[in-house]
Amino acid sequence: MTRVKIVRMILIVVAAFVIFGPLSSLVIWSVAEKWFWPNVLPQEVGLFYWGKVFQGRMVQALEVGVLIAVVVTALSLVMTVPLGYVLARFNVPFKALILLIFMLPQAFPQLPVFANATVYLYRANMGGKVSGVILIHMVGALVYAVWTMTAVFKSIPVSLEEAAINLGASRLRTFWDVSLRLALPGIVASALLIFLYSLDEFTGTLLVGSPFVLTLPVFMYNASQGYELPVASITALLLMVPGVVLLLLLERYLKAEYLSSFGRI
Amino acid sequence: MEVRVENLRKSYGKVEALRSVSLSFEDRGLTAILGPSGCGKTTLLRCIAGFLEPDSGAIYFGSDNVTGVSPQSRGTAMVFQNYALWPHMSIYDNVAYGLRLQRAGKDEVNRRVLEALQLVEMMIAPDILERKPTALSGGQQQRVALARALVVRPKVLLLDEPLSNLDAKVRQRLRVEVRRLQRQVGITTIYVTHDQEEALSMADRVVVMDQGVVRQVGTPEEIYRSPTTAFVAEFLGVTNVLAGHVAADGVTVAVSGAKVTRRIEGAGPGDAVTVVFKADAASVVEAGVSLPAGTDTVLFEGDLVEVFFVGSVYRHYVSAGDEMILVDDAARAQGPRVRVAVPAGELQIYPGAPSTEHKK
Repeated sequence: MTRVKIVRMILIVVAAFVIFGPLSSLVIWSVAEKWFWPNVLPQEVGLFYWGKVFQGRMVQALEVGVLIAVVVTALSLVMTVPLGYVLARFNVPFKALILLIFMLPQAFPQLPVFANATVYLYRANMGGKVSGVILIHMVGALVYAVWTMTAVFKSIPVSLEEAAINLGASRLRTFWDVSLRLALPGIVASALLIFLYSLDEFTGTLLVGSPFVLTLPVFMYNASQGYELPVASITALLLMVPGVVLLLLLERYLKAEYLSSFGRI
Repeated sequence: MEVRVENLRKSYGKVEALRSVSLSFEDRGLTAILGPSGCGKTTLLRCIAGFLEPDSGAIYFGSDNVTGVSPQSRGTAMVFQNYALWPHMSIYDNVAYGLRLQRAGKDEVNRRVLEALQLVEMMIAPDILERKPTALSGGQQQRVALARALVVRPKVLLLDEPLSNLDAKVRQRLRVEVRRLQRQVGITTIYVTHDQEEALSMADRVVVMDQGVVRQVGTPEEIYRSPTTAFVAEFLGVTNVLAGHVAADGVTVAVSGAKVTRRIEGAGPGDAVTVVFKADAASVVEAGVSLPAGTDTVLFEGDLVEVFFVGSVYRHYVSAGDEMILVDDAARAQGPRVRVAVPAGELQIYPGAPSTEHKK
């Protein structure tokens, strides 16, 4: 075995440990029914907590979280697909400023921004309601959506649209037949990103929604606060499932050129 | 149908892309617009297609003024440099798109799509209709793009550097093809290119543009043999562009140590002039070899710097005075001291100093 191969082997083992090490402790905690110091492994192992979790409020939290994520994704797409197209294709005045405004909430620490927004949402009678949580998720989701959508439409050569217009297609028809069809992989990728963001969002959901709106991250937080480490571990594992599945899908759809044109808008 | 543009102007900010361009493109003819990048040729084509609105001036298709007409209703068909085939549609759907927009019946669409693909010789495989454009080579994609343009029977066919993305061999073949197609369907065609060989070999008429201005219009032979400005002369081939000046007698032009007797219109004693001749019009005469007497030849004394074999000829680089002279000669000359002989009739002399970009 050459030295390069040995080094590579060691690196792979280290990487695997870094990636899977924390996960393995989650898996162990999720099946630990009795585990006291100084034992290295749990004294009693079983699926008691899995059963408990699936009977309790977790399923409800999952449902609410998915509902919120679906609505946030749909709303973001409805708003940003046309906006992204316009920003990519036309000489909109203050283009840089518009893009910057969407970026703004990310420029400040999340907590004060969301805390402030919570005050206003309660005043508007949306505090502690699903609608309020959806709105607070939109703040973050729109940043991803506007920037990716603009990049996606930018990556489609203008001549493909001009060829359709030249043959007699109206602007709307061209958008439908050519631009939208070609942007579809990018739109799907963007939708997946938004969905995952919303599903995993914690700070805004806790501030605006608690204690009335419960999503999985908040549920997990509550569980770990109450030292129910098995419950928290199971929730964490479950939260990872949609993330891993969607990221695998994403990898198929997201073209490198969308990402590379991010800075050039 | 004849296409005419009158006093067309278009500027982008401070850059004037078109400065009062007036042209007519003959009915059923192939007119090439030739010029370097940034000369305004593409702007002109896009104004005719309707993708750009000119600042002022008018565009006529036959007797119709189409200046304000939308690109959708102009009835032009454009072929793009990057083919611009829709990658998500099959070859069939690409070609059929224009006909479906016109709400042609299913049978008619089918018949005309097949006709068009046969015309461009793309019915090469049984499954060709279902294939996606990306499965084709560049040359084949451009054939399909031609079919997509021709199938709608446009009034004007616009070609925007259609062969520039293809490699040399395919380009040569498609030149012949495009020319044949154009003759066969007889559509008024405007062909934008920066390739002088392409323009000369394909076009009925050539328009040479530079800096938003039409420099010369004529048949390929006229443009090549009698360029009317130094720019056109230089743009059309491996050409020597030398700086000279008129002597005190007003009829002798001194250039790189050589003298030519000629009266130049627009240049008096002491004025700068530009002397142009083609590399293949000159020959290299070795030291000690005498020239046949009685011929009106201009001689440049110089040193042979380099000789390259370029296939059909040897390209000689001769340094004479401050200038480097290129000579394409079938025979390879020996240096170091040589003379460059140019028949006086092959020298074109224009008033004014050469622009710096012509200097090599």
